[in-house]
Amino acid sequence: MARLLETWISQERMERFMYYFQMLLNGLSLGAIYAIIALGFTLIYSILKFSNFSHGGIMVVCAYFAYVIQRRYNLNFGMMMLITAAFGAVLACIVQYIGFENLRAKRSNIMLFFVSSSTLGILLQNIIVITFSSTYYAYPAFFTPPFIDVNGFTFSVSDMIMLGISAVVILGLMFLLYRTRLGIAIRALSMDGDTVKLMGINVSVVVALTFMVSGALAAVAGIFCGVNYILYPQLNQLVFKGMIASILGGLGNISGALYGGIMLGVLEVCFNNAFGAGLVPVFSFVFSMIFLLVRPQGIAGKYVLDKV
Amino acid sequence: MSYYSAVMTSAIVNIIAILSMYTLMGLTGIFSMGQAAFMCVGAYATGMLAIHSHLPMAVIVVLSILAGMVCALLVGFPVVKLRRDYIAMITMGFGEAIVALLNNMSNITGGANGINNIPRKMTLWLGVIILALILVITMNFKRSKYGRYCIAVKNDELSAAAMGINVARVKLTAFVFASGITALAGSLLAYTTTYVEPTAFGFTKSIDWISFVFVGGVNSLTGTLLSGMIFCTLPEILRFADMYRIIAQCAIVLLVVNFLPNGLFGEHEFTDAIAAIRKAAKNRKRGNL
Amino acid sequence: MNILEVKELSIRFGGVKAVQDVSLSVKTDSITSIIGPNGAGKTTFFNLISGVYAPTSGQILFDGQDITGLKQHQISLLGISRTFQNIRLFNQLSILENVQSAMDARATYNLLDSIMTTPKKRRIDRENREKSLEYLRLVGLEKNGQDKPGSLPYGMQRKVELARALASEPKLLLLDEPAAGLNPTEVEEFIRLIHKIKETFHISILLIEHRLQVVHTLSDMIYVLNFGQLLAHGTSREIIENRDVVAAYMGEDD
Repeated sequence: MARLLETWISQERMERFMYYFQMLLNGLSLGAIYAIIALGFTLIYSILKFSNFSHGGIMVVCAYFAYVIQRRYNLNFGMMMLITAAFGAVLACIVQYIGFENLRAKRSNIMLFFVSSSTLGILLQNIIVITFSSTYYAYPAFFTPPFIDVNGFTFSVSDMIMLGISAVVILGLMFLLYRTRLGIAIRALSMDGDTVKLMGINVSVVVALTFMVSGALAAVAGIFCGVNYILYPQLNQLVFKGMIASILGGLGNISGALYGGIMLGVLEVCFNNAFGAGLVPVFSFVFSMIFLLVRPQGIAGKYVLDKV
Repeated sequence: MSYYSAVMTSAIVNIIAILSMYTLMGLTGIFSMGQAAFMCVGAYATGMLAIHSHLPMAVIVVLSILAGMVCALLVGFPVVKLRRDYIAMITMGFGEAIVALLNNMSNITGGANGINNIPRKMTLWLGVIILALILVITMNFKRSKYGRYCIAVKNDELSAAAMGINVARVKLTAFVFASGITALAGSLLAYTTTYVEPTAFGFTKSIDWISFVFVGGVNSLTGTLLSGMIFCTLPEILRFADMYRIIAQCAIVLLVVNFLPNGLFGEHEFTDAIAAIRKAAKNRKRGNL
Repeated sequence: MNILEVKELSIRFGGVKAVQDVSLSVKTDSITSIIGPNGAGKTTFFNLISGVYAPTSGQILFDGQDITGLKQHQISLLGISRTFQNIRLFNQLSILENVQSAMDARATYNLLDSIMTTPKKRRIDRENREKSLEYLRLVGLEKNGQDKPGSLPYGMQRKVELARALASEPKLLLLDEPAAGLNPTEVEEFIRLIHKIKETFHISILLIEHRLQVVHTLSDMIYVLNFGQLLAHGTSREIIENRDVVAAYMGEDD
């Protein structure tokens, strides 16, 4: 028996297992980043029903902000994240005020929200271009050693730490949404804005607070992107990964955003290993087309019709 | 080609692209964030055909337009039945996929270097003629049942369907029609600049077009044309640094969104003014009699 | 001869049975009303007939043809037109264009005709515009054709919606609370208008209302819905004398 087991766990099988395990871990950590982007994106979608492209702009500004404060005050990773998250919350609040407060008050057409949010995204991106120019920056190496070695397979420490932090952040968000009064208000708002108003909840305050939560998530996502790639102004466009993730998961559905993000991350790593990095967007695109044909409502979502 | 006529020619090419965005975003309310990808398709189709074949320019342009329309049909088909957000996402994904594909198929497309030495066959006057043609076509589109379909679909999909309008088909028609024009702009771009490269067609460009249409005015072709003319020529002539141009542009769009939600021209057209003047003249004549 | 024949129609949203085993028929050239308290499933029933939702079970026959599960625009093209409880006009089209949009969906010119403005396109568009103006004249709004719907008061917007629904030349007209928000004089005027429409176009009308007073002079047949189920049906006299209906409306007194 022991002999059988020994031959079964041969060196070759072990290697193959480690290879897939490594791939899965890479996929999960990438997926966690996408999930956090998608969660921030979906939060706004669920209450205001528009795709908030300014989320990417907030991400990129936060990523640079983290770089600056880290350099100046020589902060550790945790402090840097906390301060940046607070900054992201404030920034999102400002963005909300400039971009959407007025439109909400006037109950404007959804197109205006689209235009406003994508303009703000571009604006924030270009503020970064002007301040830092288009050159690349990188965070210092926070984690030493950067890799650990198991049987000749390397695992990135930062990947695993980010995966851990993501789990904490996501659990925190779920707690916020399902166990606190603010969370109840946000979920009620996502179902029926007019009724919430009638029930004496101050909608503007809830919207502002939701933007703050989403801003903090954007900050975390921005830092992760900076750690995972490098800092450059076009990090803004990673908001589309969040958008794809939340659509695959089911637009406007919080847990759907989580599943969609992880699925997209794992898929991208698979595509990357199978076809090379250059062709990943092609296969992601083809995949999402087919997915939408087969299951347009997403993994978890229900496809909601307009109310008659 | 003198400096100014070169600036004008490339401005005209851009205005044609913006007119395509007018049909999509202005009339139908389709938020296509990857529309520039169809310009890319048109430009590459032209580039490859011009280098590798001996077809005359007119044939190549028509083939490029068809290429754009076929792509739009394929991309649009799965998403026109869904909410608008899906179209934004899928067009964006298409944009990224096209760039990745072009970069990776370097034996045909030249990879990151793109295609060079395309013959320069665009002239200012040819540009003016084509622009006029596209203007007339778009105007006619707007004034036909299709224009009314598009606005109806933008205003209220459910109500439009109840009137017997096939909403998904209208969206697909508008998308394919507009993408044909975008591909035409791409084809002309290739003949103007003599080279194409994959990076020139990012989503910033699509967003630019959307904001021009939007600043111009709701459903106003005149507004789109004028804002396109201003935004495409002024920065070149004033030699703005690109990043300050974008900041200024964003500020203008945000101001319009907040304070002039119908855009500069609202829903008015140039032809409305003419009609009003005619009517006034007629009334005056009647008064004299 | 029945223009509409609905057999045991049901729809469920999650666990909620919004409409349950409702059977109903509308005679050709008649006015049939559905009444019932708020939340009785009246609008949902309309949405089922006009194809917004597909029913969970049951069958809808229109003019002898099975239309169960067809799409909204297909049903409209077959000859069922509707208005909405909360008016849904196209805000960026003029009032005339709103009415014309219903005819556009039946216009026979194609995209090429449109972009080249062929004589065929011009002729069809001109004819449709004139016909639309006729419909506006019928509801008394021919002078407002060039305005936007938003510039009109509520009651008049309802009339525009009615004209738009008529413009699709339906065989069956579904009116969803057409008298909601109208004052007593307007209601009387509205009742006259409905009679006039029925006589001019010889169409069948199915209308929803929650006030019995409005429909009892108007209707040939009344159906009463409550909690998604059919409570009673009959002529207006039968309905007024029906104890179940009185109970549903007044609460059980005795």
